[in-house]
Amino acid sequence: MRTIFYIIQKEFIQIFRDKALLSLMIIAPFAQLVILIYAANLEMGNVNFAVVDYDKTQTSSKLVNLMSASPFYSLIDYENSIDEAQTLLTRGEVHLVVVIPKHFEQDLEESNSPKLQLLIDAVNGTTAFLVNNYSRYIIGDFNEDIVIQRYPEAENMGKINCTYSYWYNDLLDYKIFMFPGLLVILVSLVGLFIAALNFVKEKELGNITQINVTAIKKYQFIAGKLIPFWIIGIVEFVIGLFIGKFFFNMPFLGSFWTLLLYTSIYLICVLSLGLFLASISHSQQQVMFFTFFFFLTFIILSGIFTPIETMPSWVKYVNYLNPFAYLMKVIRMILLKGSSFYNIIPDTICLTAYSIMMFFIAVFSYKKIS
Amino acid sequence: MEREVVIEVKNLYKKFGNFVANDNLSFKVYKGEIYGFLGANGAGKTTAMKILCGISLPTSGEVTIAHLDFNKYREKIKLKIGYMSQKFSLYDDLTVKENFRFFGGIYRMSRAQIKEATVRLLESLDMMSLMDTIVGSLPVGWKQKLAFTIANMHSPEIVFLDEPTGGVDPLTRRRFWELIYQAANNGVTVFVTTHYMDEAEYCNRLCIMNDGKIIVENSPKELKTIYNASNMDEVFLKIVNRKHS
Repeated sequence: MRTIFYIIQKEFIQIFRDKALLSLMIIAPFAQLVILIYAANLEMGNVNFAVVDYDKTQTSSKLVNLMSASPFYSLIDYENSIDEAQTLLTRGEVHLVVVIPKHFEQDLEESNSPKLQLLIDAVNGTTAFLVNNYSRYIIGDFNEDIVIQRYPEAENMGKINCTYSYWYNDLLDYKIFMFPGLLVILVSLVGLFIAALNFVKEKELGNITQINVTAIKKYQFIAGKLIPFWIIGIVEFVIGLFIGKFFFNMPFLGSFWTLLLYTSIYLICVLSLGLFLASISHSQQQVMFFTFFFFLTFIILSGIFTPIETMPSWVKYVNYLNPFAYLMKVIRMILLKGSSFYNIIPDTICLTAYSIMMFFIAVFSYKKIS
Repeated sequence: MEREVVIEVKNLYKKFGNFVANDNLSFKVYKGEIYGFLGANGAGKTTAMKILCGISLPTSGEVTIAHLDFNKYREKIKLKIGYMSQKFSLYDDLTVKENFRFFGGIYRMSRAQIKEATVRLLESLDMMSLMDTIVGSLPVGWKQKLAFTIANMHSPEIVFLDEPTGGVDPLTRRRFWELIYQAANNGVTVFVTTHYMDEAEYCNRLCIMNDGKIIVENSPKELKTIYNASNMDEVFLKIVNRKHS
């Protein structure tokens, strides 16, 4: 135990003496949290659209007015032909072109199946999908009004009235979905990168040889390397939570202590992974590449931006080995749904087993003998 | 009187693939002796030393250090030896005192022992005023003295020095060797690798290596007589040239 203490003491002195790394370690994660919480946004923002109106009737202009009245849509221009509108689409000035064909009003009045065309920029599929649905919703409203005007008795005929309420995030605020994910990134950065780099640096400078000629036990060395970053990770996590709660008013329904306990176990897992990668690397370049590979893969598969349910089914199995996925799932459960410790018992058991295993992998991969 | 053997190596081989770095080494080192490994770069000195320090495994052969069998008690042996390498190996971003404390702690010394040893050793080096100086800011020669002192801090039976005075002038080297003599007088066995001829002269016994093999083993004085040379430089050149002609 005393040996571990001497390593921890040494690490803390070194960490606090390296002012550049220290400020990076403090500023970078929080800057990321504050910036990304606004930027990582999948909501439909302001959609510019153009209209090609071949009909030029009262009905067609009424439809256009209805669309531009929406808070999400702004009408940029009327174009004379589809070709001209396409140029706007290609240049990215509009995301939607509404094409109203000739005889639109006439077809509508004569019940002659009137047609309408939407050209949507689908480079970003999610936005395109939202634009399509939202446009159809406006057009459907418009259509219904016309039908009811003509046949007032149709108003309540055979219409299902569906009510709904959104749970856990009633305003569908994407920030609320993203915030827990960003916290996961924040603690994992310290875990994976800083700890791994620290270990490899010791190898590159040759200090590790001086350690290897001593009778230090392998688990003592790994624990001594792990614990300082474990403490720093926990502190960063708590500060991140407070920033979210008090500056961004993020929901925090579950128990703070349950979340803290779970995150502490999680940190052992990522830190061990980082130290494992460091002990099989020979240079900072190698370890950067390794950690970056795992970081990127794990973070995306963990469902930070998109739900795991929409990914191919094999992802579910990969995620059994993805430490990020364990925290990503539970942090959202605790913060957003108020899940209690009983709800996360299976995850806690799995994560604990995984962390223990990862720690031993890190210990065994560290070679005192070359 | 029979002298006490502290390092005994028998038929040691170390191979990296087809390359034989240590080819059938056998030698004995006695207690309190300054024993030198002399050879050109790549002769296999450092490889052999790494094996003796327990950070590299031999391909075959027997090694006994401080009466302990290398294969069984590698970690136990590590408590009885000190090590200092050509690559200066204290922590550059820690102060002198912090380095003493850290290595003392790793070698399982008590807090009081560490404190006492730090003061005593720094006083003997006349470096008390440098206690809180960051090691990285010190001149190389001073760092080497500190590293040697720290390698001796836990009173090891044997200290291994791997090209300890690389990159410094002969005068600084001479001062460094005064420390080595002091340690040897106190009964510490010193095992040193070098390619400096003046350093070789300071050893009690020398083992000259070439291409992974021991060519000759004797005291510097005997070697000069045998090879009819006035200094170690000549001895070394005669041996290496004979080998290549």
